[in-house]
Amino acid sequence: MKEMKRRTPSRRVTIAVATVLLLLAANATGEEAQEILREVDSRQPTGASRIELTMAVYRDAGDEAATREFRVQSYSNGDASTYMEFLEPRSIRGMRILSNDEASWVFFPSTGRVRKIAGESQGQSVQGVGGDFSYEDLGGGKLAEDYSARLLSDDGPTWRIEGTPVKADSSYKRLILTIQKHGYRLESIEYYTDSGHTKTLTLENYETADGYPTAMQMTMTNHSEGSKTVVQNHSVVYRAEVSDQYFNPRRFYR
Amino acid sequence: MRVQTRIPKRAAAFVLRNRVWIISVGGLLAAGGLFLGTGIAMQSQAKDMMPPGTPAVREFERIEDAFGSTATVVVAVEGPSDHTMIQVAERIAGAAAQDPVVASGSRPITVEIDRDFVREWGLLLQPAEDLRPLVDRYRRTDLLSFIRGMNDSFEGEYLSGDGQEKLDSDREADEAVDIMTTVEHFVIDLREYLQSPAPTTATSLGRSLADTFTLGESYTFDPEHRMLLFSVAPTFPIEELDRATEFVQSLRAITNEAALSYPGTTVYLAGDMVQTVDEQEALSADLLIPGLLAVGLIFVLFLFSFRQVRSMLFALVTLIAGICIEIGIIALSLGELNLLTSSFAVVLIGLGIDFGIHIVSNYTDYRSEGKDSAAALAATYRKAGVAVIIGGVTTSIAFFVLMVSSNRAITQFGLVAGTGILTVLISMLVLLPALVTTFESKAPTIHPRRPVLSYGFLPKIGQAVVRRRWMVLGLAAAVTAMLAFQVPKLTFIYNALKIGPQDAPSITAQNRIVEVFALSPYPSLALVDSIDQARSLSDRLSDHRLTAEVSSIADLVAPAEEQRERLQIIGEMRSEGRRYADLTWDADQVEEFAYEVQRLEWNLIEIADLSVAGLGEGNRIQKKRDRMVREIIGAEVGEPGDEVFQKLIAAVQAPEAQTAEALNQLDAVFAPRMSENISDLVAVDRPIGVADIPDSLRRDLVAQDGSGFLVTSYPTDAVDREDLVVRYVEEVTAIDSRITGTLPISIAMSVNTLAEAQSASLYALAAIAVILLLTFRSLRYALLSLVSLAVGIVWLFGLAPVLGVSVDLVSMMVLPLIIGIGTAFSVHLIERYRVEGDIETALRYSGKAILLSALTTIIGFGSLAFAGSMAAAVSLGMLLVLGVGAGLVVTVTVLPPLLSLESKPTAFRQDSASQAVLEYTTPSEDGKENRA
Repeated sequence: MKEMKRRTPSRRVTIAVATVLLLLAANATGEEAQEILREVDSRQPTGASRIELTMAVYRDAGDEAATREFRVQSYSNGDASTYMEFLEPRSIRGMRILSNDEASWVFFPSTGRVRKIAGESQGQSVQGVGGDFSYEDLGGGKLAEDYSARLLSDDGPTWRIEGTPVKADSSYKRLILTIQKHGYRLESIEYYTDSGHTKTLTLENYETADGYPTAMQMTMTNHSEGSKTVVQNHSVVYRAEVSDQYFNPRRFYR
Repeated sequence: MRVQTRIPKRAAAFVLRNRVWIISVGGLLAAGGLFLGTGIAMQSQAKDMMPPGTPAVREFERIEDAFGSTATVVVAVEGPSDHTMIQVAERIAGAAAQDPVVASGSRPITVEIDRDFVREWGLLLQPAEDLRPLVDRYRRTDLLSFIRGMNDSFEGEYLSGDGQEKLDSDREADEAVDIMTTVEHFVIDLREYLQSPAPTTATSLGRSLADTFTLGESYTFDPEHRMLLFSVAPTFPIEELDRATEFVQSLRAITNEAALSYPGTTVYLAGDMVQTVDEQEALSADLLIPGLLAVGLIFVLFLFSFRQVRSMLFALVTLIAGICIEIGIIALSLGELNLLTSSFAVVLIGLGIDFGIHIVSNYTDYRSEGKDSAAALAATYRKAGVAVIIGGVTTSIAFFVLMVSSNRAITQFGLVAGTGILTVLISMLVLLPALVTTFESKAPTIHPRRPVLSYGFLPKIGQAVVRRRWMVLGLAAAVTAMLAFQVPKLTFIYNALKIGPQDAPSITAQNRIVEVFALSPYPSLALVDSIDQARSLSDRLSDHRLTAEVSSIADLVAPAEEQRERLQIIGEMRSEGRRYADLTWDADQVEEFAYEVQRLEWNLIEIADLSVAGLGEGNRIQKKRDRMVREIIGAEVGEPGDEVFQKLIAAVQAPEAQTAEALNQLDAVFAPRMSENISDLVAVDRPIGVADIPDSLRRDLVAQDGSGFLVTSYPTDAVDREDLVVRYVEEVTAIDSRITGTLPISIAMSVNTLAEAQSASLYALAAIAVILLLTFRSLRYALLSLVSLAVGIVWLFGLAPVLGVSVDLVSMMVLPLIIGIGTAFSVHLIERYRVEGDIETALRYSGKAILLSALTTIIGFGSLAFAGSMAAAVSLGMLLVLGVGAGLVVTVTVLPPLLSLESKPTAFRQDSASQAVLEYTTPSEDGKENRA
């Protein structure tokens, strides 16, 4: 009560003005952040792509010996369909996986059979070979459309932006993106769930492929599991000619 | 008469007057020490060496109180077939029941799993999600429906939905391999039956297949059925070592006899009790064999270094007598030896013989000058006695400082080594002169037939390094800097289980079990207060990536709500009527059966393909598939496998085979037996409680008074790696601070010992620095001594990683010893330099003593490095060889140039005590005295 009495009308006005100013400032930083994400999106390639990559999955991030490696030829049609063919390891050479919004199909060269796999939840690893990358992490959507942004800091050569998922089915509560001011390149993404900071994606070794800056190495460190997955891109071709056959569940294995 | 002359003279007179008494009393004390030594207990368990308040030790003791003895003997049987392994196991159990030692010292041995319990409660132990598919699968029990259901189950569980996620841990891989092995046995047995069908075979095969598929395995096999395990639970604690030794020996005799009776089988004994017994033997061997080797080698060294070998033999006899007396002191004071203190004999051999060298050398020299025994002994006491006393007391102080540690093992080591050095020192000062003067030859040997080394190269080395001092110092600085960069690479073995006897039978057994079962035999344990706590902790431990298996009461007693859900599903199964028709197999059904076998092969091939995603190339599932079927490289075929499915299909489709009739015979037994078993399984209609669990299971899960529950978590075999075991312990103890067990205690002890050893070494260094200042009364010389010591330590810890030598909690204890020895080397040289005024002369007179001291110490500890059976003893020996070797090289090559940097040595004080420190004489080639 004493506290309330001490607040004079002029003081209340000051507080109200300050609150409005803060809200305006917050909105301004939100707009600026959203604009930065739009700029990042605009520098991402569109259309079909062809990437040959190696994925090294470390069950224990601190144990370099405990790893499994896959070399994969991956095609994307620019929508939600992705085709992967395993080049290594040798025992599953020729295994193919087609994934789209509805389901996934696996072709086993060892038996010649194709099995349909039910749709995965967003938070799950990509067919088990994705290591610490989930479907959502690899989703090809636009950052500015999928997340509402708030600028956390713009000190030094990077921006730190908090992204809150717009879609209700996201497995994350929020993301913190670190973006280089020079070139609007993503440097890292921290993923937060209800249980806290669960994963960190680090993007390194940027090279220009078909005019697009492309991180040739991506490391996803899973803090809750103690594991990490390193993706190394060997060749990246954007705006590639990719046959529709690869994205057809009845023909992708032929 | 001056004090420094009077006391040695009186001491010599006393020894000469009472030498018979001294020898008699010395002999009696040595014999008494040996007799008392037989009662010394060997404490090889890590927990016995820890401070009592340590959380891991406290929790372990709580578990011991709640469950009685936690000792276990694991029996592992390897053999050519399941049948043979079972026969061997049953034979061992039968013989053990008849053996008075084993039967009276253990609970009744159960080789077979309690199938009545499984039959009564088995379904209620399954999670609801695993029960639901069974509603359909248990609807039809004929063979064709069964194999079709099995295929549906594989495709549903592993090859659709989020199936792939189920194969990304060792535990899931084990489960999959276990299922594949069951399928393999089913397919092979079926083929053998179809190739020669007989009604009796149909009956036994039909029953065993139905029992396996409904009730599971009756014995504990590894997933690939290479090994059968069962345990023997002693009713007495490991601390009763004599009884434990007799128990293990009796059990070994039984298992050896059983293995010999069945060719091609091997039986292993492992577990904490067997390991403790093996460690006792190794500890005893490390006291004896390396000790004898060291004595022999030192004798050979003396043979070629001294003219009066007989006197050196007396020095060895005195050394042994001193060690025996120390054994008596240990028996009376501590009554026990542990991993650290067990190496005391070798420590005393390495250090004690140095005292003898000084006494004997001086005495024989004075005698060769023509002095009588009394005068020669008095001169020896005066010239060498004080030096020996200072050296011995300095080193014993370094060890006594260890007693300030809170770590019981380190405190005991400090006491044993400190008193041991003093005991040997007194023996060398009193008993050795008594022996030498009593049994000396009338005329000293001036020219023995054997060659005697003059060690004349030492002054030449001194001359050379001083002449090129800047080059030598630069080189030494470069080497030191280079080795300093290697020091961080030094590895510390935290896992105390790795420093025991590595070739002991129990360790071989343990390694084989680890290899086959892919899990560590050292579980983490936690005593919790309720079933809910047990469940919560089990779940959290199961999620840990380095956990292979967790067991607790929660596996058997699910929450009430979950049990209700399970009972409801089981009720649905119960309402089914008859589960099989009187099926008559015809050609179509045989063809369909062949297709289902082919489908089974495809499913297992694809499951193995998918396992690569979560488990990597060459995982256990893939290897099993490659052996069962064939090696598969994408669309191509690699090495051939057993082709179990194709062989069955060939047998099913063989034109001459009466497959339909044979399957009719088999199904007439299989289907009703399956139905009968299922009826038993679905009869359960009430929740299970703790009281329903048979004693054979309950005694490992529930405290004797029912007040607590034990959670047991076996880590994967990955924790065998040193870099992972520490992290594993840190992470699981962070999950619950009550977690204890052999690994947590072992790591806690290593961490504690490392910290204590580091601080103890600093205390020892400080004590020695004070002694150096008091002895030299010169800051410069004290610093020079400390610098050469520091260089030697850098060389030691830089060379160790280069040579692949690691440090552990036992070998860490050599640091105070190396500090003591290294200091003694530099003290001898510096003091002699101050007397002689030049390095060459100093090395001529003190070099031989330093070199022989170093060589005897290197031989003493080197014997441990090469003949020790405990890994810790080997590491300790290697470190001391390196440490003393480095100290010797630094003293002979680096210290002389440092000393020569001053134009003239600081004036030597005419102090009798310090004069005695530096007086060391060595005869010249013509047998005359060489003395400044």
